[in-house]
Amino acid sequence: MLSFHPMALLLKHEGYPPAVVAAAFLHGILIYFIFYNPVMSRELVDLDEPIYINAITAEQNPQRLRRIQEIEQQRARESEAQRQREQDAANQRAQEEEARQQEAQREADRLEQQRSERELAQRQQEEADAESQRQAREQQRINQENLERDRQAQIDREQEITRQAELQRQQALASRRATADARAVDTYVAIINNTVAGNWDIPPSARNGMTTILAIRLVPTGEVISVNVIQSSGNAAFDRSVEQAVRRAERFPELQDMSTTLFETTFRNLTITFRPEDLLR
Amino acid sequence: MGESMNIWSMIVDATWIGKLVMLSLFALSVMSWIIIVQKWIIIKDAEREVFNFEKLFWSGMDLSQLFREGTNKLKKEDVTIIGMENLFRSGFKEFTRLRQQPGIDSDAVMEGSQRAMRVALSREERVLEKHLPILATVASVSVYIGLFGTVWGIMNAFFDLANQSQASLAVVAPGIAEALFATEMGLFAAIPAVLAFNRYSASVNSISDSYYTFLDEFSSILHRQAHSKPQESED
Repeated sequence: MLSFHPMALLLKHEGYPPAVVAAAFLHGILIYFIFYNPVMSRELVDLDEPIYINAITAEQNPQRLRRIQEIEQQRARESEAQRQREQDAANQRAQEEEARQQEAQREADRLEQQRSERELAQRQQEEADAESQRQAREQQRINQENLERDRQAQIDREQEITRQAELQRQQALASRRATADARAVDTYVAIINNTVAGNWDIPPSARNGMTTILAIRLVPTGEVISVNVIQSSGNAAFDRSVEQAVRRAERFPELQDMSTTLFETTFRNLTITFRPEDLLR
Repeated sequence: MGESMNIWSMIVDATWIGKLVMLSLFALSVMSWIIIVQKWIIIKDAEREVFNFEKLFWSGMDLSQLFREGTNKLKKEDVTIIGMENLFRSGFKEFTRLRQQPGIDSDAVMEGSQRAMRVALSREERVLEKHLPILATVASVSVYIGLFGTVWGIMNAFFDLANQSQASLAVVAPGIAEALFATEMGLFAAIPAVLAFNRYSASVNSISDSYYTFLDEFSSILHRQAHSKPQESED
Protein backbone atom coordinates (compact mmCIF):
# COMPACT_ATOMS: atom_id res chain seq x y z
CA MET A 1 0.00 0.00 0.00
CA LEU A 2 2.70 2.44 1.02
CA SER A 3 5.12 1.57 -1.76
CA PHE A 4 2.70 2.61 -4.50
CA HIS A 5 2.17 6.04 -3.11
CA PRO A 6 4.07 8.84 -4.92
CA MET A 7 5.52 9.90 -1.59
CA ALA A 8 7.51 6.68 -1.52
CA LEU A 9 9.80 7.93 -4.25
CA LEU A 10 10.40 11.22 -2.46
CA LEU A 11 11.07 9.46 0.80
CA LYS A 12 14.18 7.61 -0.29
CA HIS A 13 17.30 8.72 1.58
CA GLU A 14 15.13 10.72 3.99
CA GLY A 15 13.97 12.99 1.20
CA TYR A 16 17.32 14.69 0.66
CA PRO A 17 17.74 14.21 -3.13
CA PRO A 18 14.49 15.94 -4.09
CA ALA A 19 15.21 18.64 -1.51
CA VAL A 20 18.61 19.39 -3.04
CA VAL A 21 17.12 19.43 -6.54
CA ALA A 22 14.37 21.82 -5.49
CA ALA A 23 16.76 24.21 -3.73
CA ALA A 24 19.15 24.18 -6.68
CA PHE A 25 16.29 24.92 -9.06
CA LEU A 26 15.04 27.83 -6.96
CA HIS A 27 18.46 29.44 -6.66
CA GLY A 28 19.12 28.80 -10.32
CA ILE A 29 16.10 30.96 -11.07
CA LEU A 30 17.47 33.60 -8.71
CA ILE A 31 20.86 33.62 -10.43
CA TYR A 32 19.18 33.75 -13.82
CA PHE A 33 17.38 36.93 -12.80
CA ILE A 34 20.55 38.43 -11.42
CA PHE A 35 22.37 37.77 -14.68
CA TYR A 36 19.82 38.60 -17.32
CA ASN A 37 17.65 41.33 -15.93
CA PRO A 38 19.48 44.64 -16.02
CA VAL A 39 16.16 46.46 -16.45
CA MET A 40 15.14 45.60 -12.93
CA SER A 41 17.70 47.79 -11.24
CA ARG A 42 17.49 50.47 -13.91
CA GLU A 43 13.85 51.16 -13.21
CA LEU A 44 14.37 51.35 -9.51
CA VAL A 45 17.10 53.91 -9.98
CA ASP A 46 14.98 55.90 -12.41
CA LEU A 47 12.20 56.39 -9.91
CA ASP A 48 14.36 58.26 -7.47
CA GLU A 49 16.24 60.60 -9.75
CA PRO A 50 15.50 64.27 -9.26
CA ILE A 51 14.25 66.51 -12.02
CA TYR A 52 17.07 67.18 -14.37
CA ILE A 53 17.45 69.75 -17.10
CA ASN A 54 20.15 69.88 -19.67
CA ALA A 55 21.27 73.44 -20.05
CA ILE A 56 23.93 74.34 -22.52
CA THR A 57 25.30 77.73 -23.34
CA ALA A 58 25.42 77.34 -27.04
CA GLU A 59 25.97 80.89 -28.22
CA GLN A 60 28.05 83.22 -26.19
CA ASN A 61 27.33 86.70 -27.50
CA PRO A 62 28.68 86.15 -31.00
CA GLN A 63 29.76 89.73 -31.88
CA ARG A 64 31.90 90.05 -28.86
CA LEU A 65 33.42 86.65 -29.35
CA ARG A 66 34.31 87.53 -32.90
CA ARG A 67 35.91 90.79 -31.83
CA ILE A 68 38.02 89.04 -29.24
CA GLN A 69 39.15 86.59 -31.85
CA GLU A 70 40.04 89.40 -34.23
CA ILE A 71 42.06 91.15 -31.59
CA GLU A 72 43.92 87.99 -30.79
CA GLN A 73 44.67 87.34 -34.43
CA GLN A 74 45.88 90.91 -34.88
CA ARG A 75 48.16 90.56 -31.90
CA ALA A 76 49.54 87.29 -33.18
CA ARG A 77 50.20 88.82 -36.60
CA GLU A 78 51.97 91.78 -35.06
CA SER A 79 54.23 89.72 -32.89
CA GLU A 80 55.07 87.52 -35.87
CA ALA A 81 55.99 90.56 -37.97
CA GLN A 82 58.07 91.96 -35.14
CA ARG A 83 60.02 88.77 -34.85
CA GLN A 84 60.52 88.68 -38.62
CA ARG A 85 61.87 92.22 -38.59
CA GLU A 86 64.28 91.48 -35.79
CA GLN A 87 65.58 88.43 -37.53
CA ASP A 88 66.06 90.35 -40.81
CA ALA A 89 68.00 93.04 -39.00
CA ALA A 90 70.22 90.51 -37.35
CA ASN A 91 70.91 88.78 -40.66
CA GLN A 92 71.75 92.06 -42.33
CA ARG A 93 74.07 93.03 -39.56
CA ALA A 94 75.87 89.73 -39.86
CA GLN A 95 76.25 90.16 -43.65
CA GLU A 96 77.56 93.68 -43.33
CA GLU A 97 80.01 92.53 -40.76
CA GLU A 98 81.30 89.85 -43.03
CA ALA A 99 81.58 92.21 -45.99
CA ARG A 100 83.48 94.71 -43.89
CA GLN A 101 85.82 92.01 -42.76
CA GLN A 102 86.53 90.92 -46.30
CA GLU A 103 87.02 94.50 -47.33
CA ALA A 104 89.42 95.03 -44.49
CA GLN A 105 91.27 91.92 -45.40
CA ARG A 106 91.62 93.00 -48.98
CA GLU A 107 92.70 96.45 -47.91
CA ALA A 108 95.27 95.00 -45.59
CA ASP A 109 96.63 92.80 -48.33
CA ARG A 110 96.88 95.70 -50.70
CA LEU A 111 98.59 97.92 -48.16
CA GLU A 112 101.03 95.25 -47.28
CA GLN A 113 101.90 94.68 -50.88
CA GLN A 114 102.40 98.41 -51.51
CA ARG A 115 104.40 98.77 -48.41
CA SER A 116 106.55 95.79 -49.23
CA GLU A 117 107.17 97.09 -52.69
CA ARG A 118 107.92 100.56 -51.40
CA GLU A 119 110.13 99.45 -48.57
CA LEU A 120 112.00 96.73 -50.36
CA ALA A 121 114.96 99.03 -50.52
CA GLN A 122 114.86 99.84 -46.83
CA ARG A 123 116.74 98.02 -44.22
CA GLN A 124 115.56 94.57 -43.35
CA GLN A 125 115.58 95.23 -39.66
CA GLU A 126 113.39 98.28 -40.05
CA GLU A 127 111.11 96.42 -42.29
CA ALA A 128 110.76 93.56 -39.86
CA ASP A 129 110.00 95.95 -37.01
CA ALA A 130 107.40 97.84 -38.90
CA GLU A 131 105.89 94.68 -40.19
CA SER A 132 105.63 93.12 -36.76
CA GLN A 133 104.11 96.27 -35.29
CA ARG A 134 101.58 96.57 -38.02
CA GLN A 135 100.68 92.93 -37.71
CA ALA A 136 100.18 93.25 -34.01
CA ARG A 137 97.91 96.23 -34.51
CA GLU A 138 95.99 94.43 -37.17
CA GLN A 139 95.59 91.45 -34.93
CA GLN A 140 94.34 93.61 -32.12
CA ARG A 141 91.80 95.25 -34.34
CA ILE A 142 90.48 91.90 -35.55
CA ASN A 143 90.30 90.61 -32.02
CA GLN A 144 88.32 93.60 -30.97
CA GLU A 145 85.94 93.20 -33.82
CA ASN A 146 85.38 89.56 -32.95
CA LEU A 147 84.75 90.45 -29.35
CA GLU A 148 82.24 93.06 -30.33
CA ARG A 149 80.43 90.64 -32.57
CA ASP A 150 80.25 88.01 -29.88
CA ARG A 151 78.86 90.46 -27.40
CA GLN A 152 76.18 91.57 -29.82
CA ALA A 153 75.15 87.97 -30.50
CA GLN A 154 74.99 87.28 -26.78
CA ILE A 155 72.69 90.23 -26.23
CA ASP A 156 70.48 89.14 -29.08
CA ARG A 157 70.19 85.66 -27.67
CA GLU A 158 69.29 86.91 -24.22
CA GLN A 159 66.64 89.17 -25.61
CA GLU A 160 65.18 86.31 -27.58
CA ILE A 161 65.07 84.10 -24.46
CA THR A 162 63.34 86.68 -22.31
CA ARG A 163 60.85 87.36 -25.08
CA GLN A 164 60.04 83.66 -25.34
CA ALA A 165 59.62 83.34 -21.58
CA GLU A 166 57.30 86.30 -21.54
CA LEU A 167 55.23 84.78 -24.31
CA GLN A 168 54.95 81.49 -22.49
CA ARG A 169 53.98 83.18 -19.27
CA GLN A 170 51.22 85.06 -21.01
CA GLN A 171 49.94 81.93 -22.67
CA ALA A 172 49.87 80.02 -19.38
CA LEU A 173 48.04 82.90 -17.75
CA ALA A 174 45.50 82.98 -20.52
CA SER A 175 44.83 79.26 -20.39
CA ARG A 176 44.54 79.33 -16.62
CA ARG A 177 42.07 82.14 -16.87
CA ALA A 178 40.14 80.17 -19.49
CA THR A 179 39.79 77.07 -17.30
CA ALA A 180 38.78 79.19 -14.32
CA ASP A 181 36.20 80.82 -16.51
CA ALA A 182 34.90 77.49 -17.70
CA ARG A 183 34.53 76.29 -14.14
CA ALA A 184 32.72 79.46 -13.14
CA VAL A 185 30.43 79.06 -16.13
CA ASP A 186 29.60 75.52 -15.05
CA THR A 187 28.78 76.67 -11.54
CA TYR A 188 26.52 79.48 -12.67
CA VAL A 189 24.80 77.28 -15.23
CA ALA A 190 24.12 74.75 -12.46
CA ILE A 191 22.64 77.51 -10.29
CA ILE A 192 20.40 78.67 -13.10
CA ASN A 193 19.36 75.07 -13.80
CA ASN A 194 18.38 74.43 -10.23
CA THR A 195 16.43 77.65 -9.90
CA VAL A 196 14.55 77.03 -13.11
CA ALA A 197 13.90 73.39 -12.30
CA GLY A 198 12.45 74.41 -8.95
CA ASN A 199 9.99 76.69 -10.68
CA TRP A 200 9.06 74.25 -13.37
CA ASP A 201 5.55 72.76 -13.29
CA ILE A 202 5.75 69.92 -15.73
CA PRO A 203 2.51 69.65 -17.71
CA PRO A 204 0.85 66.25 -17.87
CA SER A 205 1.38 66.09 -21.61
CA ALA A 206 5.17 66.30 -21.26
CA ARG A 207 7.10 63.25 -22.43
CA ASN A 208 10.67 62.15 -22.11
CA GLY A 209 12.84 63.39 -24.92
CA MET A 210 10.91 66.58 -25.69
CA THR A 211 13.34 69.38 -26.36
CA THR A 212 12.74 73.09 -26.11
CA ILE A 213 15.50 75.65 -26.55
CA LEU A 214 15.09 79.03 -24.93
CA ALA A 215 17.08 82.20 -25.49
CA ILE A 216 17.29 84.22 -22.32
CA ARG A 217 18.61 87.73 -21.98
CA LEU A 218 20.04 88.70 -18.65
CA VAL A 219 21.37 91.92 -17.16
CA PRO A 220 24.36 92.00 -14.78
CA THR A 221 22.11 92.19 -11.71
CA GLY A 222 20.89 88.72 -12.66
CA GLU A 223 17.44 89.76 -13.77
CA VAL A 224 15.80 88.10 -16.75
CA ILE A 225 14.71 90.71 -19.25
CA SER A 226 13.43 88.51 -22.01
CA VAL A 227 12.65 84.89 -22.76
CA ASN A 228 12.15 83.54 -26.25
CA VAL A 229 11.53 80.08 -27.57
CA ILE A 230 14.12 79.40 -30.25
CA GLN A 231 13.19 75.84 -30.94
CA SER A 232 9.81 74.48 -30.01
CA SER A 233 9.26 70.94 -28.78
CA GLY A 234 6.08 70.73 -30.82
CA ASN A 235 3.98 70.70 -27.67
CA ALA A 236 2.69 74.19 -26.90
CA ALA A 237 1.89 73.42 -23.29
CA PHE A 238 5.40 72.16 -22.72
CA ASP A 239 6.94 75.24 -24.33
CA ARG A 240 4.76 77.49 -22.22
CA SER A 241 5.68 75.62 -19.06
CA VAL A 242 9.41 76.04 -19.57
CA GLU A 243 8.99 79.67 -20.52
CA GLN A 244 6.92 80.20 -17.39
CA ALA A 245 9.57 78.45 -15.31
CA VAL A 246 12.20 80.96 -16.40
CA ARG A 247 9.85 83.91 -15.97
CA ARG A 248 8.89 82.76 -12.53
CA ALA A 249 12.57 82.42 -11.57
CA GLU A 250 12.71 86.12 -12.50
CA ARG A 251 16.14 86.79 -11.10
CA PHE A 252 19.35 84.88 -10.41
CA PRO A 253 20.97 86.98 -7.67
CA GLU A 254 24.10 84.82 -7.71
CA LEU A 255 25.09 86.27 -11.06
CA GLN A 256 25.92 89.59 -9.42
CA ASP A 257 29.16 88.17 -8.07
CA MET A 258 30.37 87.29 -11.52
CA SER A 259 33.12 89.21 -13.29
CA THR A 260 31.89 91.59 -15.97
CA THR A 261 33.85 90.01 -18.80
CA LEU A 262 32.49 86.57 -18.02
CA PHE A 263 28.99 87.93 -17.90
CA GLU A 264 29.38 89.72 -21.20
CA THR A 265 30.89 86.75 -22.99
CA THR A 266 28.55 84.08 -21.72
CA PHE A 267 25.53 85.14 -19.77
CA ARG A 268 24.11 88.21 -21.41
CA ASN A 269 22.57 86.05 -24.10
CA LEU A 270 22.06 82.58 -22.70
CA THR A 271 20.62 79.55 -24.42
CA ILE A 272 19.00 76.87 -22.31
CA THR A 273 17.89 73.46 -23.55
CA PHE A 274 15.05 71.81 -21.69
CA ARG A 275 14.92 68.05 -22.03
CA PRO A 276 13.17 66.09 -19.29
CA GLU A 277 14.73 62.64 -18.99
CA ASP A 278 13.19 61.21 -15.89
CA LEU A 279 9.47 61.36 -16.47
CA LEU A 280 7.64 58.13 -15.87
CA ARG A 281 5.97 58.15 -19.25
CA MET B 1 27.33 54.73 -15.93
CA GLY B 2 23.68 54.25 -15.13
CA GLU B 3 23.10 52.49 -18.39
CA SER B 4 25.56 49.68 -17.69
CA MET B 5 24.39 49.18 -14.14
CA ASN B 6 22.87 45.81 -13.39
CA ILE B 7 22.85 43.50 -10.44
CA TRP B 8 25.64 41.32 -11.73
CA SER B 9 28.05 44.19 -12.34
CA MET B 10 27.15 45.48 -8.91
CA ILE B 11 28.11 42.17 -7.35
CA VAL B 12 31.36 42.09 -9.29
CA ASP B 13 32.24 45.63 -8.27
CA ALA B 14 31.45 45.05 -4.61
CA THR B 15 34.13 45.16 -1.96
CA TRP B 16 35.44 41.80 -0.81
CA ILE B 17 33.54 42.05 2.44
CA GLY B 18 30.39 42.72 0.46
CA LYS B 19 31.13 39.68 -1.70
CA LEU B 20 31.73 37.56 1.38
CA VAL B 21 28.43 38.64 2.87
CA MET B 22 26.54 37.93 -0.33
CA LEU B 23 28.22 34.56 -0.77
CA SER B 24 27.51 33.42 2.77
CA LEU B 25 23.92 34.56 2.52
CA PHE B 26 23.53 32.66 -0.72
CA ALA B 27 24.96 29.54 0.90
CA LEU B 28 22.65 29.93 3.90
CA SER B 29 19.71 30.34 1.58
CA VAL B 30 20.58 27.16 -0.34
CA MET B 31 21.04 25.25 2.89
CA SER B 32 17.79 26.46 4.40
CA TRP B 33 15.88 25.56 1.24
CA ILE B 34 17.30 22.04 1.21
CA ILE B 35 16.14 21.64 4.79
CA ILE B 36 12.77 23.22 4.06
CA VAL B 37 11.99 20.78 1.27
CA GLN B 38 13.40 17.77 3.09
CA LYS B 39 11.45 18.55 6.26
CA TRP B 40 8.34 19.12 4.21
CA ILE B 41 8.64 15.64 2.73
CA ILE B 42 9.29 14.03 6.09
CA ILE B 43 6.55 15.87 7.95
CA LYS B 44 3.93 15.36 5.25
CA ASP B 45 4.72 11.66 5.27
CA ALA B 46 4.42 11.51 9.06
CA GLU B 47 1.08 13.34 9.01
CA ARG B 48 -0.27 11.04 6.36
CA GLU B 49 0.93 8.03 8.28
CA VAL B 50 -0.78 9.23 11.47
CA PHE B 51 -4.04 9.72 9.61
CA ASN B 52 -3.91 6.36 7.81
CA PHE B 53 -2.78 4.33 10.78
CA GLU B 54 -5.31 5.80 13.18
CA LYS B 55 -8.05 4.95 10.71
CA LEU B 56 -6.72 1.41 10.39
CA PHE B 57 -6.22 0.99 14.13
CA TRP B 58 -9.71 2.10 15.10
CA SER B 59 -11.38 0.17 12.30
CA GLY B 60 -11.89 -2.69 14.77
CA MET B 61 -9.24 -4.87 13.18
CA ASP B 62 -7.66 -7.54 15.33
CA LEU B 63 -4.40 -6.22 16.79
CA SER B 64 -2.32 -9.31 16.07
CA GLN B 65 -3.63 -9.29 12.53
CA LEU B 66 -2.51 -5.67 12.24
CA PHE B 67 0.91 -6.62 13.54
CA ARG B 68 1.22 -9.47 11.03
CA GLU B 69 0.25 -7.19 8.16
CA GLY B 70 3.02 -4.83 9.20
CA THR B 71 5.50 -7.71 9.29
CA ASN B 72 4.48 -8.77 5.78
CA LYS B 73 4.93 -5.22 4.59
CA LEU B 74 8.41 -5.12 6.10
CA LYS B 75 9.39 -8.24 4.25
CA LYS B 76 8.84 -6.47 0.97
CA GLU B 77 11.84 -4.54 -0.20
CA ASP B 78 12.93 -1.18 1.26
CA VAL B 79 9.85 -0.12 3.14
CA THR B 80 10.46 1.33 6.54
CA ILE B 81 7.82 1.54 9.19
CA ILE B 82 7.63 4.92 10.83
CA GLY B 83 5.61 6.93 13.25
CA MET B 84 2.55 5.62 14.97
CA GLU B 85 2.78 2.15 13.48
CA ASN B 86 6.33 1.94 14.77
CA LEU B 87 5.05 2.76 18.26
CA PHE B 88 2.36 0.15 17.96
CA ARG B 89 4.78 -2.51 16.73
CA SER B 90 7.43 -1.97 19.38
CA GLY B 91 4.80 -1.89 22.16
CA PHE B 92 2.93 -4.90 20.91
CA LYS B 93 6.10 -6.91 20.26
CA GLU B 94 7.34 -6.29 23.79
CA PHE B 95 3.90 -7.09 25.21
CA THR B 96 3.60 -10.48 23.50
CA ARG B 97 7.20 -11.36 24.27
CA LEU B 98 6.79 -10.62 27.97
CA ARG B 99 3.47 -12.39 28.22
CA GLN B 100 4.94 -15.57 26.76
CA GLN B 101 7.37 -15.74 29.65
CA PRO B 102 5.89 -17.80 32.44
CA GLY B 103 5.35 -16.35 35.89
CA ILE B 104 5.61 -12.74 34.99
CA ASP B 105 2.98 -10.48 36.46
CA SER B 106 0.79 -8.17 34.40
CA ASP B 107 2.17 -4.93 35.86
CA ALA B 108 5.65 -5.84 34.73
CA VAL B 109 4.33 -6.69 31.27
CA MET B 110 2.64 -3.31 31.07
CA GLU B 111 5.71 -1.50 32.29
CA GLY B 112 7.96 -3.22 29.78
CA SER B 113 5.74 -2.54 26.78
CA GLN B 114 5.26 1.10 27.81
CA ARG B 115 9.01 1.56 28.11
CA ALA B 116 9.51 0.10 24.64
CA MET B 117 6.90 2.48 23.23
CA ARG B 118 8.47 5.51 24.94
CA VAL B 119 11.84 4.68 23.41
CA ALA B 120 10.26 4.38 19.97
CA LEU B 121 8.41 7.64 20.55
CA SER B 122 11.51 9.60 21.43
CA ARG B 123 13.24 8.17 18.34
CA GLU B 124 10.34 9.29 16.14
CA GLU B 125 10.38 12.74 17.67
CA ARG B 126 14.08 13.05 17.04
CA VAL B 127 13.58 12.26 13.36
CA LEU B 128 10.84 14.86 13.09
CA GLU B 129 12.74 17.61 14.89
CA LYS B 130 16.07 16.99 13.17
CA HIS B 131 17.47 20.13 11.41
CA LEU B 132 14.71 22.40 12.67
CA PRO B 133 17.22 24.34 14.82
CA ILE B 134 19.24 25.05 11.67
CA LEU B 135 16.20 26.71 10.15
CA ALA B 136 15.76 28.80 13.27
CA THR B 137 19.42 29.85 13.13
CA VAL B 138 19.24 30.82 9.47
CA ALA B 139 16.06 32.73 10.14
CA SER B 140 17.57 34.87 12.85
CA VAL B 141 21.19 35.17 11.71
CA SER B 142 20.89 35.87 7.99
CA VAL B 143 19.07 39.13 8.69
CA TYR B 144 21.98 40.28 10.81
CA ILE B 145 24.54 39.25 8.20
CA GLY B 146 22.59 41.21 5.62
CA LEU B 147 22.45 44.19 7.95
CA PHE B 148 26.18 43.97 8.44
CA GLY B 149 26.72 44.03 4.68
CA THR B 150 24.41 47.02 4.38
CA VAL B 151 26.12 49.03 7.07
CA TRP B 152 29.48 48.23 5.55
CA GLY B 153 28.33 49.23 2.07
CA ILE B 154 26.80 52.50 3.21
CA MET B 155 29.91 53.32 5.20
CA ASN B 156 31.97 52.81 2.06
CA ALA B 157 29.60 54.95 0.06
CA PHE B 158 30.05 57.79 2.50
CA PHE B 159 33.82 57.41 2.39
CA ASP B 160 33.62 57.73 -1.39
CA LEU B 161 31.45 60.78 -0.95
CA ALA B 162 33.92 62.36 1.43
CA ASN B 163 36.78 61.88 -1.01
CA GLN B 164 34.86 63.61 -3.75
CA SER B 165 35.04 67.36 -4.14
CA GLN B 166 31.68 67.49 -5.83
CA ALA B 167 28.99 65.45 -4.12
CA SER B 168 26.70 63.74 -6.57
CA LEU B 169 24.26 60.89 -6.45
CA ALA B 170 26.28 58.96 -9.00
CA VAL B 171 29.15 58.64 -6.55
CA VAL B 172 27.16 57.09 -3.71
CA ALA B 173 24.51 55.25 -5.68
CA PRO B 174 26.52 52.08 -6.49
CA GLY B 175 27.67 51.71 -2.89
CA ILE B 176 24.17 52.13 -1.54
CA ALA B 177 22.73 49.75 -4.12
CA GLU B 178 25.32 47.16 -3.09
CA ALA B 179 24.47 47.78 0.54
CA LEU B 180 20.77 47.34 -0.04
CA PHE B 181 21.40 44.21 -2.05
CA ALA B 182 23.03 42.67 1.02
CA THR B 183 19.88 43.31 3.05
CA GLU B 184 17.79 41.93 0.26
CA MET B 185 19.80 38.70 0.22
CA GLY B 186 19.47 38.45 3.99
CA LEU B 187 15.70 38.81 3.81
CA PHE B 188 15.55 36.40 0.90
CA ALA B 189 17.20 33.76 3.08
CA ALA B 190 15.43 34.66 6.30
CA ILE B 191 11.77 34.96 5.32
CA PRO B 192 11.28 31.38 4.03
CA ALA B 193 13.29 30.06 6.95
CA VAL B 194 11.09 31.86 9.48
CA LEU B 195 7.89 30.75 7.81
CA ALA B 196 9.05 27.17 7.48
CA PHE B 197 10.34 27.02 11.02
CA ASN B 198 7.07 28.23 12.49
CA ARG B 199 5.00 26.00 10.29
CA TYR B 200 7.11 22.90 10.89
CA SER B 201 7.34 23.39 14.66
CA ALA B 202 3.57 23.53 14.82
CA SER B 203 3.28 20.41 12.68
CA VAL B 204 5.88 18.51 14.69
CA ASN B 205 4.08 19.49 17.89
CA SER B 206 0.74 18.28 16.67
CA ILE B 207 2.24 15.02 15.34
CA SER B 208 4.00 14.24 18.59
CA ASP B 209 0.81 15.14 20.47
CA SER B 210 -1.03 12.53 18.51
CA TYR B 211 1.81 10.07 19.21
CA TYR B 212 1.42 10.66 22.96
CA THR B 213 -2.34 10.30 22.76
CA PHE B 214 -1.98 7.08 20.82
CA LEU B 215 0.55 5.80 23.35
CA ASP B 216 -1.93 6.39 26.17
CA GLU B 217 -4.83 4.85 24.29
CA PHE B 218 -2.85 1.81 23.22
CA SER B 219 -1.51 1.40 26.77
CA SER B 220 -5.03 1.32 28.11
CA ILE B 221 -5.97 -1.37 25.59
CA LEU B 222 -2.92 -3.44 26.53
CA HIS B 223 -3.69 -2.85 30.19
CA ARG B 224 -7.16 -4.21 29.74
CA GLN B 225 -5.81 -7.30 27.99
CA ALA B 226 -3.04 -7.86 30.52
CA HIS B 227 -5.37 -7.76 33.49
CA SER B 228 -8.54 -9.33 32.13
CA LYS B 229 -7.10 -12.55 30.70
CA PRO B 230 -3.82 -13.08 32.43
CA GLN B 231 -3.36 -16.73 31.42
CA GLU B 232 -4.09 -16.46 27.70
CA SER B 233 -1.18 -16.26 25.37
CA GLU B 234 -1.79 -14.45 22.10
CA ASP B 235 -5.11 -12.88 21.43
